[in-house]
Amino acid sequence: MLLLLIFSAACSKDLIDEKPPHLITSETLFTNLAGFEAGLNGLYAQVRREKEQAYGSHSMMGSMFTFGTDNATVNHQDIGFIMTAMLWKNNNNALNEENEIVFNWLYNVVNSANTIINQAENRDDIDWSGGNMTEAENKDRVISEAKAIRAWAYRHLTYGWGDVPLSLEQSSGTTIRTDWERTPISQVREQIIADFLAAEPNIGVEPSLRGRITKGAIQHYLAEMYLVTGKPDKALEWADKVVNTPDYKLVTQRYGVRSNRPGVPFMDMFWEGNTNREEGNTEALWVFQFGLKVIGGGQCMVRRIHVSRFWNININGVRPLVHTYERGGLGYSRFNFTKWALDNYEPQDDRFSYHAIRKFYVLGDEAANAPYPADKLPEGYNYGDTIWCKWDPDITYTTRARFDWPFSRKAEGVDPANMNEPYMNTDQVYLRLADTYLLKAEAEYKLGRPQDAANTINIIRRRSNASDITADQVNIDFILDERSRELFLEEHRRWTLLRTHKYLERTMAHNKNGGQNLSPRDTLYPIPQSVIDANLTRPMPQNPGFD
Amino acid sequence: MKLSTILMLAFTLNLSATGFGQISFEAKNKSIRDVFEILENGTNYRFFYNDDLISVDKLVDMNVSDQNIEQILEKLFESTGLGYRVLENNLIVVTPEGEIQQNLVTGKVTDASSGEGLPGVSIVVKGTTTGVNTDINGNYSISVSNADAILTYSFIGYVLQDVPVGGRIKIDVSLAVDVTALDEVVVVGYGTQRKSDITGTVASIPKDRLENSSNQNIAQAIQGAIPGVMIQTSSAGAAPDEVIMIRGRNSILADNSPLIVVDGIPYSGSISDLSPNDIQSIEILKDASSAAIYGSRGSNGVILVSTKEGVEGQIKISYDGYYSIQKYAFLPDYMDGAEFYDFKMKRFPGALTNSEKEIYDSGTWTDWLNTGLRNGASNQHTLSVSGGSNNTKFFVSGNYLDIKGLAVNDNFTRLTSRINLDTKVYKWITLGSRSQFSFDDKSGLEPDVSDLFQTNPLTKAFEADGSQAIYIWEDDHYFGNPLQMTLYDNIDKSYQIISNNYAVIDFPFLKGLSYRINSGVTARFYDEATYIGRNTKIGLEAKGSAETSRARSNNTVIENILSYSREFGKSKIFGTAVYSYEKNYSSRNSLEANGFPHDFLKWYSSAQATQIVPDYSFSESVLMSQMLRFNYVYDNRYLATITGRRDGFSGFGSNSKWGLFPSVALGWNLHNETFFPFKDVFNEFKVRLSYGLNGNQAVGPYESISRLGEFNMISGKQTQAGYIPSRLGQENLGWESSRTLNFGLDFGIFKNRVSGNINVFRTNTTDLLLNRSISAVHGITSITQNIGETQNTGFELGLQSRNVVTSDFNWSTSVNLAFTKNEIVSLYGELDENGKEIDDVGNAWFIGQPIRVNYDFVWEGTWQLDEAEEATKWGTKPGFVKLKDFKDDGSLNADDKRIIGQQDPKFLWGMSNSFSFKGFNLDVFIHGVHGVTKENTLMTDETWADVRRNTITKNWWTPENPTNEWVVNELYAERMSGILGAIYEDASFIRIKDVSLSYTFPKTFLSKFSVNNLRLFVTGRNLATFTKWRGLDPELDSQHQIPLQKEYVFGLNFEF
Repeated sequence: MLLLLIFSAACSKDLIDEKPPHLITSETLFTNLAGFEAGLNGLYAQVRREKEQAYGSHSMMGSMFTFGTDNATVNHQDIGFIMTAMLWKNNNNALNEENEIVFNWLYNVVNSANTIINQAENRDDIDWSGGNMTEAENKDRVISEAKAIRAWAYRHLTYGWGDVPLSLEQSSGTTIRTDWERTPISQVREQIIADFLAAEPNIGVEPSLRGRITKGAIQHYLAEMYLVTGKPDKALEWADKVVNTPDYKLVTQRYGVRSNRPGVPFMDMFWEGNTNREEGNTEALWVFQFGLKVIGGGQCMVRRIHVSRFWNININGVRPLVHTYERGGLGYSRFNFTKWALDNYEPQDDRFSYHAIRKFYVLGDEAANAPYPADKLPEGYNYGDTIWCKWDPDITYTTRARFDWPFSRKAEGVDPANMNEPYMNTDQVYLRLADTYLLKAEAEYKLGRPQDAANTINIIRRRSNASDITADQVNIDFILDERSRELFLEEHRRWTLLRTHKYLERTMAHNKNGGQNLSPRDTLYPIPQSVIDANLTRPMPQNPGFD
Repeated sequence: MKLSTILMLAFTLNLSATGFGQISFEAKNKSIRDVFEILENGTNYRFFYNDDLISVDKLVDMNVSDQNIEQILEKLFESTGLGYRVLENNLIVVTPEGEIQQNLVTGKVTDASSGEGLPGVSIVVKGTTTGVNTDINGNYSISVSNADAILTYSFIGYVLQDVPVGGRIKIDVSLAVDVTALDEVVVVGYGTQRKSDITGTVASIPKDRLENSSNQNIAQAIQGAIPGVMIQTSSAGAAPDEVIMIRGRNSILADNSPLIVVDGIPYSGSISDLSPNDIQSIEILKDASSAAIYGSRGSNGVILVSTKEGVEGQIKISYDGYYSIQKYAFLPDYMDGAEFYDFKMKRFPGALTNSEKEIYDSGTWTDWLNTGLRNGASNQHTLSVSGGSNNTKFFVSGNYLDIKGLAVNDNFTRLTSRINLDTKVYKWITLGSRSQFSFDDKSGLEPDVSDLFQTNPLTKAFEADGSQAIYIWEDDHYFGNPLQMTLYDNIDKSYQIISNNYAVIDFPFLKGLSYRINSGVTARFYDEATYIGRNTKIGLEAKGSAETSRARSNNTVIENILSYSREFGKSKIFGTAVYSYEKNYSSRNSLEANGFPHDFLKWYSSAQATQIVPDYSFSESVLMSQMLRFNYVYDNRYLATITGRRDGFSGFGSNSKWGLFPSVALGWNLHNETFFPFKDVFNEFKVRLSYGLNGNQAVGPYESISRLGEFNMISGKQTQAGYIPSRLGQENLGWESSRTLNFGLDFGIFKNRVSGNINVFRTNTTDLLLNRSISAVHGITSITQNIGETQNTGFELGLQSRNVVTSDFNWSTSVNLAFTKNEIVSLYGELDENGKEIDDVGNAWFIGQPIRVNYDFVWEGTWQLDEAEEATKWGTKPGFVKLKDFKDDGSLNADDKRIIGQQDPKFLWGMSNSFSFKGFNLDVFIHGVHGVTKENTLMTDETWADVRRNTITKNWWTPENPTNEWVVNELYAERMSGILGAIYEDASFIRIKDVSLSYTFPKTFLSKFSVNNLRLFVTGRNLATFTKWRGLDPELDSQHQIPLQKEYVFGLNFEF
């Protein structure tokens, strides 16, 4: 009797069913266009992490794509990739946390993109209506943005780690895999190209929302992918599509927030308030969005990583320089120009001017520095005197930690009210037309058309008052030199050098604090040990030299 | 009537004469008192009277020859108003005439085994408040109003006796030591049981550990007192964290803490909110059988806490209070300014900044620990009143605890009040309540002690005007003042109401059947706010920053308990059925604001801030349970318990919400068998065997749901709500199940001069809820799954021995020890080519190894000068760390990692010795933890880029000091192949936890002041620790936190 009473008592199934009102699942979110837009926002916020923290507050996700190269060396050492890029050898190992963090992040992006793609493609209960477009157009655009981002992530993965597992399905709790295989890089690149090709027709010349990818950016990446897969003709075709899009134009005139102050056209697009297309940056193909003290504003690390510690410059026992808005804010100078990168310019090149590269500081009194405090005067100095930066001798292991090293003013940017603000609020120009021109030149050069290449390069050089070059000057090294002059701190320099098979040669030649420690295996990063360990049922081979 | 006083004086005379006779004497102008003396000197009679009786001073003339005592007294008391009565042994009690009608009972209470008188035994006329205590020789005298009264003799540690007076005037009683406590009633969950009938493994906290009232919380009373129960102080400070673990780690996923049940209701609050002075008893259910009634909640053991209740007939008012001072037990040796300067100059002279140099030159560096630590102090006061009349019993208490911790501004205040009421409404229905209100105040933030340790000493804490420096390092504005948190305005308060109410209905139609309904409601409210003003770096840079939040958590329990208890001949049966519902709910709304126009209004002006971020969080879970338990006892020899429980938890996947947890236990009281051959040695010999299944929900709600997390974006500086996949869920997520086999032996030797218990157990936990690391290729690196199996085997021994028992001096020892072996039996079931199951190296889970191991590269020593050549091959040099290349392949990689000890102890023990001499009592409690290895995180020179953080002094390697203990003071010296060498050390320790000296005033003295009990005590806590560990403390989790305190407590209890 009792037994029956207890065990047959109504199980009150309702009482223990979970109906969480505060959680969102893919089933509940991806039911209409607004839900997919929110999914895309999350996806782009993940993409933006390239310019955000990687390993503690010291490093930046994208450091591994950009630094430790011929034009950027370690100045202030620390941990994670900063140390790796200086010491290489066994320090570039499968247990390196920053390597793991970056690898994991890229697959995080892949899964978010896969989720959007799978949900959009496979569900039939979605209300796609909204905006000025048809339901079909909305659906195609959402899928295309996600595919473009997935391709973007695999682009990083292939450059960084070579053969990588190709995952194209939304991860689910019931299908955990312990037998991932490394897909050959050629196959992954086919997928990248397929995704970009699928996305390109459905993405606008202008982004669907400020901060999103554009048709031009996708075409640019297609050009690059065809270059790396040995199809310069196709590369040229896609680069031309970008160059020939009327709305994409190089910035050749002063404009925007600083146009009434001394400056050069080349630099205007990097100031806060000028970086976006609608702000006048006609050259921009993709602009990452950042904002201080805004929900979702992100934490841009670029300044922190690059700007010098001028505030530590010591003259006769005095540290004269205070932080002012004009000086760009607090920097920790993890990665700086190599000496070579600074010597790479002609003197009259706008890109080498004081407006582009910080090479001196003028001591300011209270009025000059207002509202910030006056600089402190070392003995024998007066307000108005200039303190010059130096880039000789080169940064080496023993001469590193240079406070007076020049830095690119592309990295300036701080909250005027808080000079100690660790992050920057400047929207970051992520991809721009000048880069496409240089891809185009590379394709032309590869196709044996050096004159065309020279012409293309000169378009870029003329904008910055660099002297014209001739066809016979064009070779791959010149193109790489030009890319450094134009795109320092912007392009994924390591990827560029790897793509052109020049990484080891050029980095060893120009990077004196790290280059000397490189060996061939360092052209790939090791697959993180945790990824190898989690592949319980199928051995995952490590990259050569890392076993 | 202060008769007992006189009696005591009377007995100081040595009167042993016997025999009757006629008496002759003469007395002229003597007081009656003098006549008594004459009679006492000349005869065997002795007189007892109250000194306050004025009549005995009356002067009389007596001339007596050959009269008997009655005749003499008749005459003596003529017109004095005095009466008398002659008792046995020629005792004559003189009282005012009216009172003589009462029955006066006298006698002696002795120890049954030694025959010696027992002082301090409480004798109460049952059903009244009349009571006396025996004197130092065990004698007593008590008036009873009627000859049918029953006297109750009780004394701690002895079996209580009820003796009907039955017209007698002299009653001698011998009390037997209650050593086996065989008939003690023990709380076993959803009811109570006689201890002798228990089949499971139930341990009770010794009373004296509970009554050591200098405990701040119950965990301190439990620590080291029970075999197999580990209490670890994982963080120190004013409100320390205590981690409780019973019988080792079963579950890999976070929660291994036992279920705490207070007054029958699962307790969801913090144990620090229970006043230890309110606790009557603590029982711990360790094996599957005893814990099975808590089904899914019982796999980590159950702690049953019962609060005090009133005792019928006695109004007791008691006060407990103490004051303590605290000092840190140990501080690591961080470098001072001069040492730091040398360290930095050796390591990276170029990085020395001007302001550091100036401070170094002027010698005005900061001892950060000194600025942030202080001597702590605490005091606690408890006042309680308890009592009861025929149908109602009550216990009311109020407790105040105030702690000033070792870190500046680390304060904790707690106020609790409790009302426990039980009332019999009718013969068949009893209602009761156990209700508590508590208030916690942790307001005020202490400095970040980790920062205090590690902040560069060549900086300044204060400006010239005495204010706290905002930027301590003029040349490096990265650093704020590690003391800045002390300047924050901070409110951190919580209010908790626990009301557990019950009704018991004893059905009149079926004897032994009763129904009990428990309803428990816990509501906790949090009130938190912080304002960071412009007097701090953070506040200055954010232009004022505030966080405020209000939260509420609720726990509601309803239990229906039907029980049936009956004896049939030699059989006793006890059945229990439970149907219960428990709901946990919590929500919090909070506001974060930055950019205030000014600091005047703090968070009150949040609306004016430039950035305001509100948030709302929520969680809800439901547990439903059905339980049946059946106990059977035959002839006090054979015992059996069968239990089944079925639980449903909302947090699991839709097809796996319900779990069934059965268990069975058998017991055999061998000592009650006629054939038991060792009866003269063993007064108790009971064997127990239990086997059962428990569950562990181990996870919170919503874990089975794949979900997205908020990940916002902006566009044109405007927020764009965004979501990304954040968690992979598994539809079939379900219970973790633990099967425990327990063999136990309870024994008592020589009438319990030595008693103890032995338990051997094996617990296999399957379907472990694991946060398993998965390949990053999934985009998410962890998932909660039911996987694998672990096994805990253990041996536990508890021993109590009364080494010396005399009337004046007693020495008793109690020892408990537990060995626990923990191992992973299986993980995912994936086999390698040899058929051996594959380890999960990524998670550092290895088949056959404990769950929590250290898995790392092995620090072999330091590269020495004569190994320079070999070192160069490794890209390193003499003075740098040498990590072991086990594979000997010239590179360090994952295969060179090794298991370096386990993180949970293998062996725990506790020993207390109690010495008493007259009213003095000395208790010494020693606790040992062995077989733990931990990383000593202080052993590093990673002082950030440019040597900006402090570290401890070490035996640095130099060519002249070619030690293997540590490396050279040089950047990257701790790294080989980029891998940071970590130092693992044995964190075993033996600690003198408590030494307590108390003095209890004699009852005979106290009774003059109507005081029942008065005890003064001094306790020393954590007085000494013996360990090889070189970090802050082997017990604490983090080595960069508030150090453990040594505490000296001065207190008193009294009761009247």
